[in-house]
Amino acid sequence: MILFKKALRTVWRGKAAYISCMLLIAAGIYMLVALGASARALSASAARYYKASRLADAFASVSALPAGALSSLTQIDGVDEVQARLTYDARIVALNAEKLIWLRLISYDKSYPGIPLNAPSVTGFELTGEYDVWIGQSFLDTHQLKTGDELTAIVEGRQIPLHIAGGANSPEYVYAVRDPSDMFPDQEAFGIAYVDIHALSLLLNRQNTFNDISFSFENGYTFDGLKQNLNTALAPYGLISLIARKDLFSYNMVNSEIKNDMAMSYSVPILFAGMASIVLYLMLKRIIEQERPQIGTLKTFGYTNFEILAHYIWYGLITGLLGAIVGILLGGVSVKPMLDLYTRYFTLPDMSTDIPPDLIFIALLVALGFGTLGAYAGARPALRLNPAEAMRPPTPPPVKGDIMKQLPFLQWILTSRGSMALRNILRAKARSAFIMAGVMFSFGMLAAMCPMTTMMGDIILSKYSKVEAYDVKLTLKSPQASAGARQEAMKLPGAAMAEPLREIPAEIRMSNRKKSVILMGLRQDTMLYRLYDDEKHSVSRVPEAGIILNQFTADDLGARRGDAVLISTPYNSEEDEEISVTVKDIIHQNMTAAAYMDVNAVNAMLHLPDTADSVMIKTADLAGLKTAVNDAKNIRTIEDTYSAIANIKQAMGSYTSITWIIVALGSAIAFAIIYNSSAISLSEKKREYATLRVLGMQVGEVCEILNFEYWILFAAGCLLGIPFAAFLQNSINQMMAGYLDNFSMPTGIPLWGLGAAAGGCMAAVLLSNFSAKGKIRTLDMVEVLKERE
Amino acid sequence: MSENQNKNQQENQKDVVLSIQGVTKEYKMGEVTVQALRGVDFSIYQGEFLVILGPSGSGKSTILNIIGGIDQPSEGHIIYKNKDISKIREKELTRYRRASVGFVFQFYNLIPNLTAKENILLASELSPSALSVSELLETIGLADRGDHFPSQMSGGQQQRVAIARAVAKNPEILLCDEPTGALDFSTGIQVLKILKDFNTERNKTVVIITHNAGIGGMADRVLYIKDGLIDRVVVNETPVSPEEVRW
Ligand SMILES: Nc1ncnc2c1ncn2[C@@H]1O[C@H](COP(=O)(O)OP(=O)(O)OP(=O)(O)O)[C@@H](O)[C@H]1O
Ligand SMILES: [Mg+2]
Repeated sequence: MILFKKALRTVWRGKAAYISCMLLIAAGIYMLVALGASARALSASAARYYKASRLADAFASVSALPAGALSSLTQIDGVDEVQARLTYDARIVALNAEKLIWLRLISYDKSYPGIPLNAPSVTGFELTGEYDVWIGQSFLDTHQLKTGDELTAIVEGRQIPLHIAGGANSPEYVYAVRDPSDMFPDQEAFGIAYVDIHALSLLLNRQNTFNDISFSFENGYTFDGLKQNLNTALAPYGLISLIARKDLFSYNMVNSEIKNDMAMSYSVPILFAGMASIVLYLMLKRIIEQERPQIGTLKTFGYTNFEILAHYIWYGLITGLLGAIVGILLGGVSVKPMLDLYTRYFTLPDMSTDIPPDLIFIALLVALGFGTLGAYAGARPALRLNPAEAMRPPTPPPVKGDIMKQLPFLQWILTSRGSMALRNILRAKARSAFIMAGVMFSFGMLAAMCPMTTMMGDIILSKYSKVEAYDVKLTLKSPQASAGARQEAMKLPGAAMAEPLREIPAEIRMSNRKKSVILMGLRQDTMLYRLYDDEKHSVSRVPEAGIILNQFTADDLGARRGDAVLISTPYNSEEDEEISVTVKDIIHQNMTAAAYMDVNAVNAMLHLPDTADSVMIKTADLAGLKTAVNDAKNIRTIEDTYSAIANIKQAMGSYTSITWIIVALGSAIAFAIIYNSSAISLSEKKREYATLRVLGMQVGEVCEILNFEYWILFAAGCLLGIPFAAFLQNSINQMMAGYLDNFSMPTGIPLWGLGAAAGGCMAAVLLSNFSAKGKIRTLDMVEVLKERE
Repeated sequence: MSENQNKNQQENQKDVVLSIQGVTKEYKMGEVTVQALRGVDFSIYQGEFLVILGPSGSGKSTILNIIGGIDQPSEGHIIYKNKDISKIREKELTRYRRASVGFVFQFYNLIPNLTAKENILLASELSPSALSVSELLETIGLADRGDHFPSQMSGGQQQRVAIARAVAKNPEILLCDEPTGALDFSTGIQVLKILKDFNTERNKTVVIITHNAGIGGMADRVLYIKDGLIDRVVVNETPVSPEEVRW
């Protein structure tokens, strides 16, 4: 009981040190609770929503499937229900002059009995009028539209007035992007719109045919098991793609966010609590050394080893407990804002802001566990102390020669105080190592984290600056002769360069491994699309024959240069289901799996005429060009680099702020560690400094010795921190690679990262020095020297 | 009366609390071996006030530490209540210290983070027959200083707290290593008085180590140690009161 009081008081006296430890733990627990609770809420909400709205198990897109063929699909063994729809991306006019705005028109069958697959949740009125639509709620909100308003859409070249009958959310568009290559949702530029099926088929002039088929499976059947049969059944209708639910972009994004956050909610706290544990270990170790006589006294009275150990473990427990409480409270209030952040990207209903009790249990377990562990490891030497031994000050280690004598040249460089500092460092090796480790830790952490603030943006933007040299890419509705497409493109406003290309969905196979990619057919002399290697910083040439893969594709296939891979595309003929191609090169890219070939080679391989399905254009008059192609009939999409960059930059904003928060946390940790280690070291050397003061040294002179020590340790710590930073970065990258498909972080720490880390540590050292100076100035010599060590 | 007769007589009259038999202690420091104790035999009797005298380095603290169970002899036995405490395990040794021994150190060794009162409580919490803390504070004349921390007290005051702390458990044996070593004359007398009172009022055994021959005057028996051996034992028929001690 009294011992507990002593623990409390000791902690209170050294509060700065324990508080920073506690904050470390609190930061970890905060992440655990805030991220853990929100990821669970996201996961639960998504699961409920997908179930209630009957999200399909597989999705196919075809050219045209007649209504009559539907029953044959339903009869496939394992298929439970088939939903056939029409979808069409229509451009909306007059909402925003600068941006292209698209609504994905999705047919809706009012006559369907019960809940259809992929059922939208609707607020508003029935679809009664011909052009009544339910529009994605976030799209409505962004444009401040409401029920009763009208929009004009261009469908098959005709202007159609759409009448808003209500808002709708779809389980397929929880993460709503028009095309996976967009990466981030832009609620202003893309939305969904449900239109009555009869109205839509009339508009598209496709009565009784469908282009979008969804399947649900009977219990016990999987996508992989049914894929072959579905493929065969759909092939005659111009199968464009067939994917499982897990590969639906929106579904996949929600899932990887959950996975990612869950993983972070465990790894970050363990990292932080682990560091706190190490700091506690070091602190307790020093305390045990300092309190040797006290431990001896307690043992002499008959306190048992267990009681003494328990006493010191209290230090860790108190720290852990406070950290847990602070972390849980802060985490608790952050769940709501976290979920709000989610809803900027994910449209999901009712996310619970409650903190699951098991999470609190885990938080306590982590905080108390690491607190106890660190304290236990540090306090264990107390057990071995023999009481009679403990009452005496520890025998100083034998002095093994003097560095000044061994390295006499040092005397020329150093002042007398400098050499005193150097001797101090070497004499108290453990203490010096402690401070050095503090600097090393902090330096490594900052150096590894700072570059992350810009890396993600750099990766994505480098795609536009280094790879895609064009301003606009037009996707054609149907392939067109290359030469003609190029000529027409060159006639567009401001066009300076135009290059036709092929983009074909393909499945590449090598022995039993497969990978689905978009196979790009480029001209050998392409100027507008460069095969930039992010690692070698060089551009590869498109080979005349053979294929270039990037490392995501190559790694998944296990392919190496010179290997033969098999390619199948929707254009392959029956007898030529797979065509063998040689891998000419593998390039390293930071994002998305890809494969590249010469456009002529692609056409030849698939027995296609010299045609293109997209055109890349470099133009001086972007706005003019956009207006000019707006109403062109054969253009499916217009992808313009500038809006894409703007959208990414905006989306990156919140990511960047998150990484900055992590950096801020990192700095706080760095500061805590450096400040702590130097404060502990100072309190240990109080006697020594007091003696120097009694001898007649000025405060400044004592500080000079101290500062000298710190700067030597600082420099050494920074040097050690460089490899440590590389190690940390590598671990972070590996962790990220595990959770994000087709995404790799560049390695290597830029010079500015090292600079920032050194600067951060230097600030902490300066502040520690400053505070040390104050302490030395107010040092009560009488009191310090009265205490017996 | 010869010394030997006297000894026999005493042994017959009084119960032995602790019997020290053939105790040696060596410290090995690399090549050099220091013989701190070279074979020491003696008994400590119930209720006696024993003073161990000897020059610096003669082995006084070493023998006291061994008696108190905080250090182990290299050879020999220490018998307490029919048990050889030089042979028992750490757990049992701790129990022995907890229940039977009170220790006063030359340098007080108060816990700096605890107040005077709490330092005493620290010990009394260990014993079921503990003495009242407020009475103890009264006895040592520091009733009004109970809430002060060691750093706020003088050396003599700290030593008195240390004694109160050792006494608080109400131990069978009170062991004091140079209790007056760091104190001035009159404070030293005060401290000795407290120790003597504990000895007489509660009939407990008190062992004091000192190199101050004057203190020998108040002992029932004085043990002279020299070079790790017992030089001689002197029984004091008429111990003086602490106030009369001079040095
Ligand atoms: N831990 C140790 N290592 C080596 N030698 C030791 C150790 N402790 C004591 N000694 C030696 O044992 C001998 C006896 O020491 P002890 O402390 O018992 O002397 P003392 O009689 O108490 O002296 P003082 O009156 O100065 O306290 C001394 O020679 C001392 O140097
Ligand atoms: Mg001694």
